[in-house]
Amino acid sequence: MVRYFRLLRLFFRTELQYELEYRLNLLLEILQTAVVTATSVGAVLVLFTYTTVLNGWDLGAMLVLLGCFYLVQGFGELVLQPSFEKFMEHVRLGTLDFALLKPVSPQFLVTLRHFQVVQLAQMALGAIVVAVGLSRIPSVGTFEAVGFPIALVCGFALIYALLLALSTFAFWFVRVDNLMALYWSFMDAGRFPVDVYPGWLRVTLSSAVPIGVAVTVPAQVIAGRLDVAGLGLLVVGSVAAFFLASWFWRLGLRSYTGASA
Amino acid sequence: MIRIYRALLVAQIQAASQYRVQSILWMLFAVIRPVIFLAAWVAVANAQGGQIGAYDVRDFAAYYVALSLVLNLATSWNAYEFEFEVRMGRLSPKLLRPLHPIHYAVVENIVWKLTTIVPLTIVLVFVSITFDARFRTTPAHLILFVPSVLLAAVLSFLTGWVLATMAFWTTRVHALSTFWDRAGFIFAGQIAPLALLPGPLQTISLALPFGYVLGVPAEILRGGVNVNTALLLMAGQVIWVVVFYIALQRVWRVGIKQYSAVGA
Amino acid sequence: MSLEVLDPVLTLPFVRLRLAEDLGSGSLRAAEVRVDVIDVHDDPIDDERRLEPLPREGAGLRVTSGTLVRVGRMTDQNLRPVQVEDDVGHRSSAIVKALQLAQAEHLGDPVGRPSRVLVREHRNHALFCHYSPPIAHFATNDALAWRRERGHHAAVSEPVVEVKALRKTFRVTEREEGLAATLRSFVRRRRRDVNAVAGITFRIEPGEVVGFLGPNGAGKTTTLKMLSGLLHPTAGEARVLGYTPWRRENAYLRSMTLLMGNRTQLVWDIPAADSFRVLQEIYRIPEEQFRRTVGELTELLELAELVRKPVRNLSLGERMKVEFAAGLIHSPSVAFLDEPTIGLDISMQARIRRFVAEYNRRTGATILLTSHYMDDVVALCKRVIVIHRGLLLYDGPLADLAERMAPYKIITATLHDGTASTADLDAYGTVVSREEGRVVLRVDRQVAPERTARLVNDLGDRLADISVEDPPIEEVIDRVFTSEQAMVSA
Repeated sequence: MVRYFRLLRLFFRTELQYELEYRLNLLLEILQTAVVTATSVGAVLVLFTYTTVLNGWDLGAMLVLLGCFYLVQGFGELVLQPSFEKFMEHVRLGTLDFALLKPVSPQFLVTLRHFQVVQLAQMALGAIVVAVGLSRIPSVGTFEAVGFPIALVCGFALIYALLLALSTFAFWFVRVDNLMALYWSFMDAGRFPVDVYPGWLRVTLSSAVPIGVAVTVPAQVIAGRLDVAGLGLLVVGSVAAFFLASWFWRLGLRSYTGASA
Repeated sequence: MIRIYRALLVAQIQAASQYRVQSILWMLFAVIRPVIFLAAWVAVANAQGGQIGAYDVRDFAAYYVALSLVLNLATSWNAYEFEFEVRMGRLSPKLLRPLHPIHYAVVENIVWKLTTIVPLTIVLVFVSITFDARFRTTPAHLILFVPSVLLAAVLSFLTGWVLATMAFWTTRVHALSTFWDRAGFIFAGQIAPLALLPGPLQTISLALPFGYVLGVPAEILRGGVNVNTALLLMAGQVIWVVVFYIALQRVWRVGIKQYSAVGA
Repeated sequence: MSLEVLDPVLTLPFVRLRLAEDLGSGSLRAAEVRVDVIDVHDDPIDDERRLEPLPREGAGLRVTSGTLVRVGRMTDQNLRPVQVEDDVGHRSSAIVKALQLAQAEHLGDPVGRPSRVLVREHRNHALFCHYSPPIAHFATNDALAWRRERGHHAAVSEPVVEVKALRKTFRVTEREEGLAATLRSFVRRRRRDVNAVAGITFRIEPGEVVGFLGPNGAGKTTTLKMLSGLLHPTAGEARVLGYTPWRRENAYLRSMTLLMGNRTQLVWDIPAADSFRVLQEIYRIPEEQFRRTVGELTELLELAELVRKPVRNLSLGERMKVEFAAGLIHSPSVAFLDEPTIGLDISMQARIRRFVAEYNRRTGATILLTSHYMDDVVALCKRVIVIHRGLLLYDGPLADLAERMAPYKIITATLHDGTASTADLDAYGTVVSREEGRVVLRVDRQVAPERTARLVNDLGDRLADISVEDPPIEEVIDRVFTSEQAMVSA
């Protein structure tokens, strides 16, 4: 386990070194991220010039939600998107074999391999927006403070599980970029609390594309809108999703190597 | 010229059939964003008793459905591809042919829109029903919509190409595009119908080209403005089209000269 | 493997041993081996002393000039004489000591690997002891018997790769052209079984460099994938280094490597040196060993300038070199090379070949290689395995392959005068080609010398040049592929 942390750190450091070489690029990308985040906050502010509450969410809570959105999306783009993109390229080019022949878990080596370090800036901005939102919330208790990072990590795990399950189809269909891209577009819906969406969309965003859950629940926790039971449910669900997706991926891998089912 | 276009069209249609699925997926992405904001505005309106300014819940639905349609019909994506072509050296062979490279992009653009319009309409009908959209469109509006959306498409294309031309001088076109798009995000009528943008923002939006690409034709289609206002806004569209047409000519000429000087 | 001494009195300048190997299922392979023991000194050998138990290792063996026994690797090229002094003067124990010395040498080897020892058939009347270091211990009491004893492991060689009746069948769906067929295939798919590998059996000993030859689709790459662990076979067994490859146990993965030509495992944007560091972490290579291995590989492959550049900035040949280094950085005992020189220019191909040969020489790693280029195989492999349509057609020395499959010679006669009248030349052999003044004949191997002599005689002054050659190896291989019988060498 320690070894895997060391490996992760090494992967991260390697990409960081590479990205740092292109300073101008890095700066521009950080600037872009800032602009995107700022305009999104602006959009929320525009909405709130006409109301003080949106479906029970006040401005502070909404900002927290938006911040969580950028935290979760930032995490996805930090390590998941580049790694899964590379994974599908590997399947296409036949270079996946190299990952299978290393004395390290192939799932780890494939899904957490590549980092887009600049996305840390996105996550940082997300955290700032959360902080700004929090400043408008009267009190944050211990349960909220502790539950928030837990819920956030569960959110990360949910997104990971979904991407893992989707990418498994690459073992059979090779080109699933379209599927992945469709998924990413649904992600955008996470910027608003999942309860504003009509029935079918809300259900989708809570199950098949769990971005709704991954973003809304942490925001609910810290805004004091969720109880222990709800958080517990999230934890259980995330763990289950993670293991289910991993099992599915291993199944795909066995099919890839021709192991009889 | 007509013959050339016909030939290009045929070729492009054949090529497009290869990635039909991708085109449709792309279209779906474009639809999701307006639906998200529609849901948000519905929630806001409901919190305020069902009406915000001149818009009630059903008006919002109609607006965003119209916006989706306009988004699809007035979209262009040239900046990225052009930068790619310049970098990869694929522009040069095109320059050697007796046809301005922009025509390829025009044809590609038209074919994509043709491919996606039918599935899009189906999706939008579904959305309209789900959100109970109310359109205040009159025949006059419909007649005006056609030139308006055409102007919007041309304007979007031209602005996109001016951006793309920046690829002659910098490889950071992607960053430029992002800034441009985000400005559009605020001022084009996506986060809110233009009429609902808070005071100063609304004034700015009228002075910038973004609104004339999306917001204006959308409102015309929805029937949200009366005919006189519509005509005024369309005049604004025409002005911007002219501005960017001239800009493109200039920028392209300078850019090409510089490109060939460096060694195409 | 059992050893039996045939000469009870050890005064002769040689010793004869009988080696017997049980191949399983009731078959036995036996050989008589003769060991020459060469005395450098004139000191008489005290032959009254019998075989005495040798002292345990580390107790008082001195190395000076004395009895010379040839100890060498698998191939003729790698013989290294080892000098041992045996102060009791027994030849038989001298052999053992020579081996112990070889072992001691390799215990100093920085790269620890499992040890195997093989006693093989003699050539040129010498006992060849093949080893891949380090050797743990030797049995000492009965000097000529290899036994496991407490604290002494004398292992008779186990093959590195052992394959029995390996099979791989793929299921492919077939579909014809056209819309109707597409619709039909929605409802009912037509499936066909393709036997990529249809039951092959072979073994590979440590340190060998074996070439897999075969046309496209013959099953070479599939076999390699099964041996490296990427594919599950449909039937049959395979063991590499004692492991079942497709279980992909970490211990196995650490001692093997797969290199695929034209495919890179390195990350494009970062310098190779950084990728090496990542690999070091993945394989848990200790820093000291890592530095040494990287140093060696850099020197052998001339990588000094290349490792600091991002991989995408390297040319194809440079990338291949760096790829090799990355693949060998953990000093595997077995290397699977799949078309390693494909797409490279001639000089780079030659360099890679030299590297592979040198690597095998230095480290004793076992190498399996598939290639389209005959030059690769000819340069590197003494032994080839020919696979065609999933079946093993030939397994044995490359040289013998030509003899077996193409029992003819090519005689090229160049004539002074422009006319190469065919009438008379037909009598000497089958005319393969005829150009201005040059005729190429195919002649049975047996009669080739005689025909050549006759040609020279009969043509006399008209003959400007004559050459007698083996058929080009490609032709030989072609003939192997078109042959319908499966041939397995003894």
